Amino acid sequence: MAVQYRLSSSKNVSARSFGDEVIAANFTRGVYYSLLGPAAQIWEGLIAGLPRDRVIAEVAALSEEDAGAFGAAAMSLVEALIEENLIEPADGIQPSAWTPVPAAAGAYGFPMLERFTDMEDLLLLDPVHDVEEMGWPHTNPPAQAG
Amino acid sequence: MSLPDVLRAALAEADRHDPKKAMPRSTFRFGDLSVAMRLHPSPALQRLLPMMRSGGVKAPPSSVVIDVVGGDVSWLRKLLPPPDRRGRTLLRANEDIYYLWLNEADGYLTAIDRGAARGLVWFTHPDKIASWHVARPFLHAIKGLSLPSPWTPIHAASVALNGRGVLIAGLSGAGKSSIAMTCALRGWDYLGDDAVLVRAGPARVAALYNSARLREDTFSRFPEVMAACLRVSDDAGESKAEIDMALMRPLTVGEAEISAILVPQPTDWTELHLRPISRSETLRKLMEAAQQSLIGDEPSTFAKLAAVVERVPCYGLVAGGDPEQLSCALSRLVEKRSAA
Repeated sequence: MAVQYRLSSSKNVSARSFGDEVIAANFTRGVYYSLLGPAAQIWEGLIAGLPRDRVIAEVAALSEEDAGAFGAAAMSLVEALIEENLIEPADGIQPSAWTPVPAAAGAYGFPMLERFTDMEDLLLLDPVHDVEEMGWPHTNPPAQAG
Repeated sequence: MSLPDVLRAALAEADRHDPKKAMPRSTFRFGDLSVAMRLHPSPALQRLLPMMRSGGVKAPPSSVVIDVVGGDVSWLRKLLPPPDRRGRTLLRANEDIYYLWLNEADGYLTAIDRGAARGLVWFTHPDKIASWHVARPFLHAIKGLSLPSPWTPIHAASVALNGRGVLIAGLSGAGKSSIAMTCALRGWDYLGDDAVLVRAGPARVAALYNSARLREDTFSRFPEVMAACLRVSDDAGESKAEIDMALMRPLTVGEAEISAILVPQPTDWTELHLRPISRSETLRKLMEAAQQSLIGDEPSTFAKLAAVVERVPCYGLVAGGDPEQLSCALSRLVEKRSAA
C-alpha cells in the first residue's frame, strides 16, 4: 500500500517553499527547519501527496549518490519530518502534479533536515502561556479593592 | 464568562464613560488601518502620542477605536490575570481575541476584540510607563488589530531613497539603528529603526513612529542625530538616547516599496560586505525578531513575511566602518532593483 503524507494539521506548524528551499516552523517548540536541494524536492513531492517510495526514487535518480544510501538517508529525513510533527500520514490523498527539479549545478547529494533552535531559548526567556479556555477566575483581589 | 465576554463588557463600560463621545480621540493610519485612540483622563498617557508618525489624520467612520486607560480602574479589574500569574507574560491570540499581559511598568495589558475591531490598552501604573512604550506606543495593539489586514508590524528598521526602501532585519543589538541612522544622515527617508509595518503583493514598508533609539556606545558616532535627542533613558540597565527624527528634518515619506531585505551579519570584519542569502535564512531572522517583541499570531505572521521574502532579494550585510561607502552601496542596491 502506498504511503502518503500531508502537512501537519497542527495550527502551530507552518511551511513555505521557495522552489529550491523550504522553511518550516513548529511554533510550539520554537524550532525552525530548512530543507535544501534534494530535501526540498522530497518535501515538495510528499506535500503534493505522492507516494513516499515514488518520491524518493525520483529524487534519487537526480542524485550522484548510491541509490541505496540515498534511499536510507531519504527515509531518515521522512522519519525526522514525522518526529518533528511537520508532516503526518494521510491515506487516500489525490496527488497533485509534481516533478522533481534537478540540481542547478551537478547532481544532488544526500537530503538533510537542518534544525534551528535559536527560538527555543527566546521562548524560554519569554514564556507564553494560554489562559484557561473559560478565561480567568474572576475574583477581585482584596488588595485592589477601593 | 469567557475572556472575550469579559473584554466586551469592559469595552461597553468604556463607552458608558464617554456617553457624549466627547473624550478626545487622536486618529492614526497604519497601512490600511485607521485607529482612533481614545485617551481616558490621565496626564501620563499624553506622553504616548507625540511619536506616532501619522498624527492628525481625520477620523474616517470606519476607524477602529482603542481605549487607552491608566491607573487602577474598577471596571477593568476583571481583565486582570490572577495575582499569582501577573509576574509572567500571558498571551491569548486567536480569531476572537488578542490578549497580552506584560509584566512591565507594573502591569500593561493590550486586549483586542477581533470580532468587533475594538480594543483597549491599559497601563495599570501610568507613572511607570517604560521608555520603549513612549518611543513605540501601542505597538501590541497594532499587532492585535493587524490579523485580518495584509499588513503586519515587524521588529525591523527601514530607510528609503526615492520611494524604494531597504528593510533591515535582526534581533535587538544587531545594528539596525546604526545602519538606519547612517543612511538617514545621507539623504535617505527615515521609516523606522525598530518597528515598521510590512506587506506583500506588492512588497511595501510603512513607518509607524518618528522615534529612534540609540545605544550609548553609538552616541559619539552620530552627533547630528544626538542633537535631536529628547532624553537619555534607562532601558533594562542600558542607556538609550530617545530621538525624535522629525526634529532633524520633516518626515514627509511614510511608505516605500521594499527593494531589498538586509540581515546584519555578526562578524569581526571591518570592511563592507554584501552577499545574497537564502530566503529561508531571511524569513527565519524576520520571524525571530518578530517573536522577540511581537508575540502571537505566528502562523499568520509567517505567511505574510514569507510572501514578502519571496518577492524581494535578500542580503547578508556587514556594514563596515565607512558610512559613505555603506550608503552608496545600499543606493546601488535599490537602483539595481529598480532597473530590474
